[in-house]
This record gives sequence, C-alpha cells and structure tokens, in this order.
Amino acid sequence: MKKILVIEDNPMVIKSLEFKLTKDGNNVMVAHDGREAMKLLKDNEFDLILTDLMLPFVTGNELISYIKKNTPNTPIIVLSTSTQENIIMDAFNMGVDDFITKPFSPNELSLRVRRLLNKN
Amino acid sequence: MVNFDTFNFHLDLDSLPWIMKLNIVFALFFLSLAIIFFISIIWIRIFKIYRNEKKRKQQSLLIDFLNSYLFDEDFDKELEIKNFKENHLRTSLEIKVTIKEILHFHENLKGESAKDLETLFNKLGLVEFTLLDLEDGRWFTTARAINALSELCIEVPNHRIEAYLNESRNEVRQQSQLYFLKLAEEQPLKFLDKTVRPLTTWQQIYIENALKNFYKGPAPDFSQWLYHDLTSVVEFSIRMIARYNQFENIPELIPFLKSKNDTLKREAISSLTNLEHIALLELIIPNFKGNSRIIKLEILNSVEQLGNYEDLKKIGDQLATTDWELRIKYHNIELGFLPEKKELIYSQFMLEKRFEI
Repeated sequence: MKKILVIEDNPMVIKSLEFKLTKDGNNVMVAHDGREAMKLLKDNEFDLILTDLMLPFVTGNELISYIKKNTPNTPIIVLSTSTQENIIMDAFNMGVDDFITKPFSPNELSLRVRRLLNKN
Repeated sequence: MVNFDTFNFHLDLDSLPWIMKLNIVFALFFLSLAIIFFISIIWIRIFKIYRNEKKRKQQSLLIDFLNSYLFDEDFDKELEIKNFKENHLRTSLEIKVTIKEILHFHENLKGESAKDLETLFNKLGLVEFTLLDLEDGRWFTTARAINALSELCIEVPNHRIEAYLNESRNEVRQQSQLYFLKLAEEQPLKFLDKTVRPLTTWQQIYIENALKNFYKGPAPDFSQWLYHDLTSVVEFSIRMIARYNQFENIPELIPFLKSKNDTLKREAISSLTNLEHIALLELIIPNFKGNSRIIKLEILNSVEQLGNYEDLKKIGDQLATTDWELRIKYHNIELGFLPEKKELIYSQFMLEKRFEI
C-alpha cells in the first residue's frame, strides 16, 4: 500500500481526493495547510505528495522547496487553479513531477498518480 | 434607626400626578419592547444554530453520497438515489444545500465526473425545483436558479430564460446572458438581438470571458450588431471585431470614425489600431483638431503604434499650447520615435513649459 500525502485547504477537494485515492488502494494522509504538512513530513515518509499552491501559513512553493530539500526523491504533483504559464513553469523548475489544473478529472488524476508511483 | 413604616410600596395610581403616570406608561412600554427584542435575538440565534446544524449534517451526508456516487463502483446508484430522494430531499433547506453542494463539486471536477453530476442533478428531480425557483419572484433566487442551470448545462425552453434578459437587476440579466452563452452551440450572442437594456462594463467583461472559455463553436460575426440600438452593444461589437481579428469587418468600422458619439468613435480608432489598419492615420490625423480630448488621446495612441515621426509632426501643429496632458503625451511619443534626440526634446519641452509658449 502506497502512502500519499494530500495537502489542500478545500474540504470538498480533500474528501474527494481522499475517497478516490483510498479506493485505488492507497493509504492517504491529509494536511489542511502548509504547517500541518511540514509536521507530517517530519514524522512520516511518503511515496507521493499531492499539493495545492495556495495554502494557508506556508505557500505551496515554500513547501515544494522544503520537500525537495529533505526528500528529493519523493514525487510531487501540484493541483492548482492557476493556469498561468509562469506559475506552471516555476513549479516544474522547482522539480515537481506533474501539474494538474482545477477543475480536474479524478480519473485522469488517478492515472497520473499511478504512473508516478509505478515509476518510482 | 430606620422606620420601616416610611417604606410603603403600595401604589395608588390615581393619587399620582399625571407626569408620573406618563413616566410609568413609557417605562413599561420600553421595558416590554426590550424584552421582545431580547427574546427575538435569542430566538433568531437558536434558529440559526439549528439551521446551521441541519445544513452541516446535510453537507456532510452529501459529501459522502456524492463521493460514493462518483467514485465507488460498488455503489448501487439507482437504489441510493431513490433512498436519498425519499429521505433527504424533503425540506426546502435540504434541497437548497444539495443544489449548492452539487454545484460546488461540479465547479471543481471535470470530465466524466462532471457529466455524472449533471445526470444526478436530473435524477434527483432538482431541475423541477430550480424551475420553481426561477419564477420565485425574488431576484437573488431567480439569479441563483439561472446560474445553476447554466453551470450544469441544463437546457430549458428559451422563452423561460429570455424573460430575464431585460430584468431590472443587473445580476439577473448577467446570469441569463451567461446561460445563453454557455449553452449555445452556435450564435452565442443571439440574445443581444433581444436585449434592450445597456450592457454594463462587468457584463461586457463576463460575456467576453465566457466566449473565450466556455463557448466551443465558431466565433460569431460581430458586425451584425454594429447597428444595434444600444451604444454599449455597438461598442462591445467594435471591440470584439479587433479581439477576434475579424479583418473582413474593417470596412464596416470606417464609418464610425465620423460618429458623433465619442465612445463609439474612440472604440473604432482603438480597434482599427489593434487590427493594424495603416490607412487609419490618413483618416484621423487631418481632423485631429476638431476632436474632443479623449479622441485626441486615442489618435495619439494610434500614431504611436502605427505611424512614424512625420505623422506625429502633422499633429504637433494642431496641438493647443495650453493642453499639457496632450503635449506631454505628444513629447513622450516623440521620444520614442527619436531616442537620439531625447535630451534636446526634453530641454525644448522644459523651456516651453517655463515660458508657457
């Protein structure tokens, strides 16, 4: 069972991601903001991290830097409402493995998660 | 020592002077008002807590229901929908929360899941409820109902929405315009033919945004609304001709350069500039002086984008010496054309300003 961390502040999106990814056979942990995510990252090891960019307390970019510094091999998928080219480019330059824009297709997201988990 | 006999509280109202009686009446009146007010606040508060609690329960129930409906393959959809309809869609509050939550899910999901939500909305009988809301009479309920229909792409007979295209409230008009735009397969702006109230700036922005992001069919020929009765519709159409690069409509825009309406004239100059119609300068420079300041500024913008230093000099002779805003704009453009003479032009400008030539 793969361990996935979902970092998101929208309760509806959290529930849907948690439900879908658990149904796909993963162990899902949830952080509602950047601070909570950092705490979970200190105490656990994850196979994949799914994060929003606009988060309370610690921004998505700060979080990505933190993850890349401490666990550089953990794949990261960004799930964001932003469609601006520079934001997407910045995220990829920081080392994220995939970028999905909201609204998102849960089936597509599930496929991308599986692909990254299998790759690693 | 206190003599308790002096504290006789027995009131004989008749023996009191009239001013005291009046005071007592007022005191009792305001006391009862305060009590009623206090009880009302407590009652409203309790009602709100109770309502919020019901809302929260329905929301949490819906999140589980919707997630199972969308992602659980073992979920018996028909049976569960029937059960949900019978047990959890009984009150107006439950129905409202359900519509809101389905819309919230629909906003965040796309693809097959979004389509499934549209089907679910139908199966739960929420379309009928939305249609009732449409005719509720309160503007915010009507606007919300139209919004739900357009967000979930639910088609209803056109005449039911057309009725709101000319509503007095902006919000209702805006939602009905978006409804037609989002559901159209072709001719997304056909509703403009039936519009008799001016388009607000926000409405124009929303229409443009919906055209770009939601409408998938061929772009409409915007020239068909160039002779609409409403200035705002004509202004919008002129702008869209440039945004959608409809070069074939350039001849249709030329007559607007002689328009008496400054808004239309300015929009035509701006659109022709954006379409890079070089011949525009020959039409606007000779008459520069006879225009209002707003048009003059637009003409200067056109010269900056399409012209050269020779074109600019033709305007220089027509500029009033006291109109500093135009002169500053003129000199800034001049600097762009002649970067090597920057210092010279600046000294000349300062000199003129100093002596108010």
